[in-house]
Amino acid sequence: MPRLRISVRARQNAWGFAFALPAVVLFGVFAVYPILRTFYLSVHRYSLVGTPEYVGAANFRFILTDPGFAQTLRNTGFYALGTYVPVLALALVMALALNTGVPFRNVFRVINFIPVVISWAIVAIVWKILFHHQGLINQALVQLGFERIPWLQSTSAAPWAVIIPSIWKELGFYTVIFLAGLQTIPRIFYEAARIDGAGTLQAFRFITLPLLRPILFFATIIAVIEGVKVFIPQFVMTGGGPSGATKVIAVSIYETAFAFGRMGRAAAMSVLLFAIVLILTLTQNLVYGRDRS
Amino acid sequence: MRTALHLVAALTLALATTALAQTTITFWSHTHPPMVDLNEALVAEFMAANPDIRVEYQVIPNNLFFEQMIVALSTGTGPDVINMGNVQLTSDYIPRGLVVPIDLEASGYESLEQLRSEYVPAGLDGATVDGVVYGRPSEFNTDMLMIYVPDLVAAGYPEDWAPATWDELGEVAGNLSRFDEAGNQTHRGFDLVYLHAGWYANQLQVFASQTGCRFYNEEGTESIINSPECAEAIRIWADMIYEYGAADPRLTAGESTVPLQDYISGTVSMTFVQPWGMELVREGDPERWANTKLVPVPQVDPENPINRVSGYYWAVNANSNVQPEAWRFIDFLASHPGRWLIDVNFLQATADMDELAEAEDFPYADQWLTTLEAGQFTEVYPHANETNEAVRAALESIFLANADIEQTLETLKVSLDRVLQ
Repeated sequence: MPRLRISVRARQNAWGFAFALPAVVLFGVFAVYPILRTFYLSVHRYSLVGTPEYVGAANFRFILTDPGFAQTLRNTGFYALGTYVPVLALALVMALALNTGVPFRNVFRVINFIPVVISWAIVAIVWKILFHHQGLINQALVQLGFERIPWLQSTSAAPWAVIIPSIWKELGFYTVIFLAGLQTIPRIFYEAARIDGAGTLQAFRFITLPLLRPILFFATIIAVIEGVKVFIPQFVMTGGGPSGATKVIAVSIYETAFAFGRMGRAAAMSVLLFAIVLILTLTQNLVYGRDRS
Repeated sequence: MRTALHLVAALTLALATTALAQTTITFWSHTHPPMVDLNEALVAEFMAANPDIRVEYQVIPNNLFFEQMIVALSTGTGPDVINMGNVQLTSDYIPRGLVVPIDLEASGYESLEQLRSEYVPAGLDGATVDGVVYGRPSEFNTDMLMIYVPDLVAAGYPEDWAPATWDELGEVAGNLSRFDEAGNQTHRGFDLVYLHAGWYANQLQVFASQTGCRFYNEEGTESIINSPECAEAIRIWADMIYEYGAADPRLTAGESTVPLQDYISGTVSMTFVQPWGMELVREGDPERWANTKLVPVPQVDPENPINRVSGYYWAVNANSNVQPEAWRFIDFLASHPGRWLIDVNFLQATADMDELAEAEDFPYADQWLTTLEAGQFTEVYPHANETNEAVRAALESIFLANADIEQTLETLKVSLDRVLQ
């Protein structure tokens, strides 16, 4: 009887697969299956009771003609831009500052990073108290001779009341990302530029920015995804109010699914959110890719 | 040898415990500290009287209560016994088959008539659909106006003052409000509670029941919230803010565990209170409670007073596999109306409510009963959570941004018509 010959490579592949199997199974159960289930439910009417009823594109038609959903899209865009454009700009400035020989820079780095490690729920509760009509921020404004601002009760102020703590909380993370990128740029480039007579701005324009581009790309992608799928600050601080002024897509999905029991519509919203993130990411990839070429 | 003996003893004990505690009932309620205390005490007493049954009691935070409960029941992971508001019960839970009709035998009754005779005539209506009863009342609510008398006297009004109409309330409440040097309101003469969507809709019903406002038509096919009656109901509330300067929603503490926190902390002189709220105020500030008086809520037509009635009901999960035991447990909870009355200030709508020994010590017992007599159940409408959320958004735009009432109601009607789709 001939012996079964298994090559070394095949044996290695089998072992590799065996080691990866638990992770693959977990990923399949907790990531792939929910995603596929979401696509399935998006074309069904389902209230968690009974069996899903196929409704074709009705959920998408309902959402796309819903003024409330259009408002959540605008709110989400406003939050993402209002938070992450300043965050990315400030984080770059902060990283450049902390990458120099400034005294106590390690202390500043730690202070800058502290908000990142605090739970978003705690941050949101604390800022909600600070923004109360008679809270610390309004007390300070009155002391300085300004009017109180109804931060959480005004449809124009509430979106900013959510953005301000978000900038405070997110800044540290992107500073660290940029700082890591800056530290990979060899000093010799700056020294050569200085010998050639380049100033600080020219060095930034022609050395720092081009060499930091992969990091900028990564940070922007992460920022867009974080901005579009934001949930906790709005959910905790305002519950999406007042009058829907801070209701973002993720809050609307949660509410539609779990408070209203409209799983099909919530799934359709999730599919649209997925499409939005995908399109934005591909667009960014194209823009950065074109710049690279 | 000694270790082996210990092991055998431990195993025997474990087996004996398992044999005794064969049935486990899970029970969830929302947060209300006095209610939670009594629930815990009654659970312990029930388990002591029924060693074969174990009750696991869990409290859900108020702001997550409705979502968690309906998702848990819908997915088959909910508790055996729930305590739920009549609107949610009749609009969502019963139509979706999430709870079961009452088990008379397990509850210890021979007939539905016998059970009904235990309660005031409308006592079971909040959990009844098509003549089938699905729950027993844990609390029966209506409203009175709570007044902090020293504020009233300080503003030059007599201690026995009581408003007959909303205008009378608004005028006096406006004079009780206080402002800082810059003209910012710091104290409110009268205000309501601004919490989650359920609270907004619930409080609107106080005015809506008097003006004849309904969110949907009788058939439940179309919203009629853009009616003049609904505009009038909302205008009563809005006038307290814009016309009389009595209320200011921006000043609310927004505290969902103790909803009457603004009154307790002294930033509001007058507010609505339901029976359960009296205990919160008494616990929160005994001195303030001692200087508090309750009077009937003002009326649109004082000659024909109308008070809205709402309730919470204990019901049993349709997926529960211990339904008879769950109904037995509910019967035990319901068999202490005196303790619910005096410890938690819950009226359980029992027929002999006024004859209970504890009723003598129950504050304003006669007035509550008189108010209940003029009571009518709040409108039951489909998709309660979704409707309430849309109503809240509309009310916020009126109360916080001074949006035009009629125009807002036209937009709200479109939203509510979409809720029906």
